Amino acid sequence: MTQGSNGEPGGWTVAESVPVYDSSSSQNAPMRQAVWELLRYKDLLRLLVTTNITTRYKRSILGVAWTLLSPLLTMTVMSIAFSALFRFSVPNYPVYVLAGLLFFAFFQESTTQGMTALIWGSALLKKVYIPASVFPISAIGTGLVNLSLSLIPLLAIMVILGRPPSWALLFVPVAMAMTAVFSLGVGLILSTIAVVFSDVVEMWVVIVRALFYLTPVMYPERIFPERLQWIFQVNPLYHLIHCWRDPIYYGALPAMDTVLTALVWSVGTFLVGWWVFSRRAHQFALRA
Amino acid sequence: METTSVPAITVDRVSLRYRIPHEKVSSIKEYAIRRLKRSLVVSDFWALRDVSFEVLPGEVFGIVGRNGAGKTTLLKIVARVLRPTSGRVVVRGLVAPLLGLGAGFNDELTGSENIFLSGATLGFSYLDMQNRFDRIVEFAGLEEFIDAPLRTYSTGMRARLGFSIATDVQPHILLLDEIMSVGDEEFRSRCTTRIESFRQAGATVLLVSHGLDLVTELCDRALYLDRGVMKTIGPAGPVVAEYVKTVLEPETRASSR
Repeated sequence: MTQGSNGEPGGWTVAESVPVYDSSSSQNAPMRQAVWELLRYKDLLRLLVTTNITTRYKRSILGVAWTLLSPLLTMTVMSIAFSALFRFSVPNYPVYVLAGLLFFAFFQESTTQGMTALIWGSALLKKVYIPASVFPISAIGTGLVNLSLSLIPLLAIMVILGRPPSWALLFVPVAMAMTAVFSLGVGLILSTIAVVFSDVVEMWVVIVRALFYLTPVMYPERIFPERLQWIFQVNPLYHLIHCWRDPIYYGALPAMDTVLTALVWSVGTFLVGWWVFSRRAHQFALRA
Repeated sequence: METTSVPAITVDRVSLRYRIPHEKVSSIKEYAIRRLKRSLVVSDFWALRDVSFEVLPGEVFGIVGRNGAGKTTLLKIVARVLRPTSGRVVVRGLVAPLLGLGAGFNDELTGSENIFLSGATLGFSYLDMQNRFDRIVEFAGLEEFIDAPLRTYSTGMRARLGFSIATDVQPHILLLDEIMSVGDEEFRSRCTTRIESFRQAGATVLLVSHGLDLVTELCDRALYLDRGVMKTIGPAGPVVAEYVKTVLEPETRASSR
């Protein structure tokens, strides 16, 4: 605070540290400036993430345990249902399907929550200036915390089923980061639309369902017909799921071209998302 | 003194246009259909037209005018919530906006959680707010209710909490929109004292109020807005008098007929 800092009672100088807002210069702020600004609001981000997580746990009786149990239950059901189908082609199917489900749940939750977070936040945006991107970013942060927690039961299952963790697991954080950046890009695009058209939330449910079946989450990719394999190649989630699951399931690093394709998809999607979002962000307070 | 001549707020030929769709289109399907049928009718509403003024550090500046004159819109532009359609705004200093009852409050969270949320929206850290917490609660007089969800609060309690947070963080610029008309007499006098000390410290206050006595009492200068256009600007007393005159005029004419 610079009040009275020049020693004179009631004196007030416009110091260098004082934030200056100029409506004409902030028209389209460069990304570096936007990131710098976001750092100022890091406590808001942290608060939104913790609120998301604690409200989720408060609501269910099982609390934190639920986040850990829910994917395990789905895994068990899937394993029982599909083990007859894929038993011979996929050894250690529970590990395969659990890793896939956790990956997909992260993508689904963080993109969907990005929309609801911004719709929720638009009430705040009408009363006080905050960088609107904190809302979709908070959804990604929440997803990352939940995903990290789910790594515990995943590791437990791996050990129980005799798939000991290997050094390749060190690549998992990289895969998580790429998936997070990709999901953020998608979340930024979706939330920009969702502020205006609320039915996007329902439409996204349908699209995500389709993506779930077009990505080898619960089935081995070989069962996809040869002439349809190109769908995998154009599906960013296919490359990302490889980056994430190869170290866990095969204990091996993903192929270089897979990593590069995933990287291009995630950075590209993020840049498009950021561009769309930042062009519209100043209009959010006018909406709804 | 050279330093004090740098205005805290510069509003330069600012206009703001709202585009109001005749029918609310809130789904993509509907939008697409209407787009094809070319039945998307929007009308323009200029909430502000060519507004210019400057406020110096240490000034308490009032804005008066009828409902819908653009007072809140003007505060929102200074707060950076809305971007002017044309013109330019320069604001020097940390801004604490109180637009409506309690800026940035969430109904489902408790009073104390809202203190941290509100502080975070102003860019203050959790630790920082923790140090201010007791003082904020005490000034708002909400010791017994601070752990109750905000939805159980009365409008007066919300206003007290909002004002207490916004002033405790000692912003350079405080924006107050009708905050004092909801509190009781005791709280209002405490607000007045605090605003006075703000002025002493060299902070700037922008005050929108229908309480004209309050504006005359607190403000150095005032602006009278009429349907988005500047009517009068100058020392608070004469501006308020002018406003009262023009508002009452049609009525006196009607009653004398």
